[in-house]
Amino acid sequence: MTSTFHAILATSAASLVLALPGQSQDPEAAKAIAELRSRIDELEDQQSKLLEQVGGRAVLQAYTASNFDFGGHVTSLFAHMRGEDRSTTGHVVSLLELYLKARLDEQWSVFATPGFYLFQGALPDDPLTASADPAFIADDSGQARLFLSRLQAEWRLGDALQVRGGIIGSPHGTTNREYFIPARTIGEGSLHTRVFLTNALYPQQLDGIAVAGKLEVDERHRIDYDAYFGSQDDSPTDAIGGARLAFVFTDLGLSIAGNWGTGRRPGVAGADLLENVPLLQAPFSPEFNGARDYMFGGIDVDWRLGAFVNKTELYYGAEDGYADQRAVSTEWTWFALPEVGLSYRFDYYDRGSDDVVVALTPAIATMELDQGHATEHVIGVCYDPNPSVRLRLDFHHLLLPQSRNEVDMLNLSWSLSF
Amino acid sequence: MTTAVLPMLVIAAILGRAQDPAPPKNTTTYVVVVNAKNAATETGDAAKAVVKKLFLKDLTQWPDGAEAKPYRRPDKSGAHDAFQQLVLGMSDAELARHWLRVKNQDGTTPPKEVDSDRMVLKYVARYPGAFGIVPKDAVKGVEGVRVLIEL
Repeated sequence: MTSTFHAILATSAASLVLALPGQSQDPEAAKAIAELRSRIDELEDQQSKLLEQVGGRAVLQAYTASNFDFGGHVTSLFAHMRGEDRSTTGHVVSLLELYLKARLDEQWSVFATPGFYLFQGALPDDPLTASADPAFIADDSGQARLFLSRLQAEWRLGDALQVRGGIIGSPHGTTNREYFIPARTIGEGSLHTRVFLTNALYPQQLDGIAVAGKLEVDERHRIDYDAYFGSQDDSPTDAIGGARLAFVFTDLGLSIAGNWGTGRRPGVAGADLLENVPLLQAPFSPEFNGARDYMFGGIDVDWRLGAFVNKTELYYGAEDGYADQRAVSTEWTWFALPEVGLSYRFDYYDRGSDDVVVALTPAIATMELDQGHATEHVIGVCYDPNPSVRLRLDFHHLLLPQSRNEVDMLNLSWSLSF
Repeated sequence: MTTAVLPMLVIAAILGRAQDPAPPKNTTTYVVVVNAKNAATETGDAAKAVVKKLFLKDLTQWPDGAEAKPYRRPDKSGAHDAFQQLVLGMSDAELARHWLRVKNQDGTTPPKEVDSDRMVLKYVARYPGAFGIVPKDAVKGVEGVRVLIEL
């Protein structure tokens, strides 16, 4: 509205100047008129751009926020999976996540990402088939699930100190730190983070509080810290905590971080044991059956220099009463063209040991067994036809634990981010 | 011989496209302007390093603690091209990937885009932590702003 007013005002002023006899011949007046015309053009351009953005409908008004950003993404992933004896093709997952960020003032803000998703599982090793070949589980698209991956209030003193509370992300792992899928060059996460929301080796999400900040050492170096305390969805009474400390070489685009965390895994009991199976192309089940305390440590490296991106992480988890876990993931991407990226990733994940079901009658019985390790090689190409659109085609060669069966997967996925 | 040279030419062409930020399209001198009350004392490469971090939102505060408020110019404009090459040192695609990543990390959005030089100068004069890129000539006689970096 202000722009319209300015445009009318400037137009009127220009008309008045043009109407004055003799003025148009004066070089000074002609210059002033030219400048006014230029300003009118600018205002009209801005006005038309504003109208294009706002449209003819009501403009959003945030009740008390000084600033409100709304965005999100839509992602779908389809897969062709080939096992030892059988191949199958199907839909793995589709999700819509909305990003809502409201800023109340310079210190307080809220970030929430309500999401809706539907997944068909994509089991790489279906235990119901004789040869344990890949399969998809059925789900009802009319019952897409609600998913809250972030729901956090933030108070910030400045870059050196921010406090977040609510449903927050853990700082561990390179892919997990990015978290939302549209920025990934390979659709599926690494083996030890593949099934979201779980406590596989380190927590990826928690309900709690975190303190984080960035401290400049000098103009080329920085220290980032992030410490958290809380619990996870599957066990609100089991406390978890951890921290990440990173040294950042800003001119090299390189960060090297140490990670530590501790907590308790609640375990799975009763009939839930039968539903705790590998999903979403993950070689291991999303939760541990056997309850135990744990402590983990790890190193992650994130290096982004020009067209080159490397994400590497090594983690070791000490499991009380069970065999320990180990995970390695290294991903290298080169954007050979501005809009085309070529990626390679290697994953190794040793799940340690866990309780497995050995009898269903007369009651469900379990015993501790070594879970073995899985490895995966991924070659991927991603294409960004638009800065907000990413198409991916990834070939995965997965060596399953214990059976040592091989599964090849060709994943096609896309993300539209707005 | 031809079979050996051809792949090398293709790779060279790809590398050339992938690495080189687009050169500025004209010879206009651009400047990064800040609010006249801005206490930044950095000059040269040090000033560019600070402005780069603030523009990319890696940091959000000037060294004196004032909240940074960057404004960007339209893609493909002379001001944006000069800033991108001489301060950010990034290609269009690298910049796009940066904003895609930070947005999908914590909802951070790119700086607001302003078309007009005059509007950039008005915003910068109004907000203490603001900065923007304009042609050097546009700053003459404008109150409330000062030049931090000449590109």
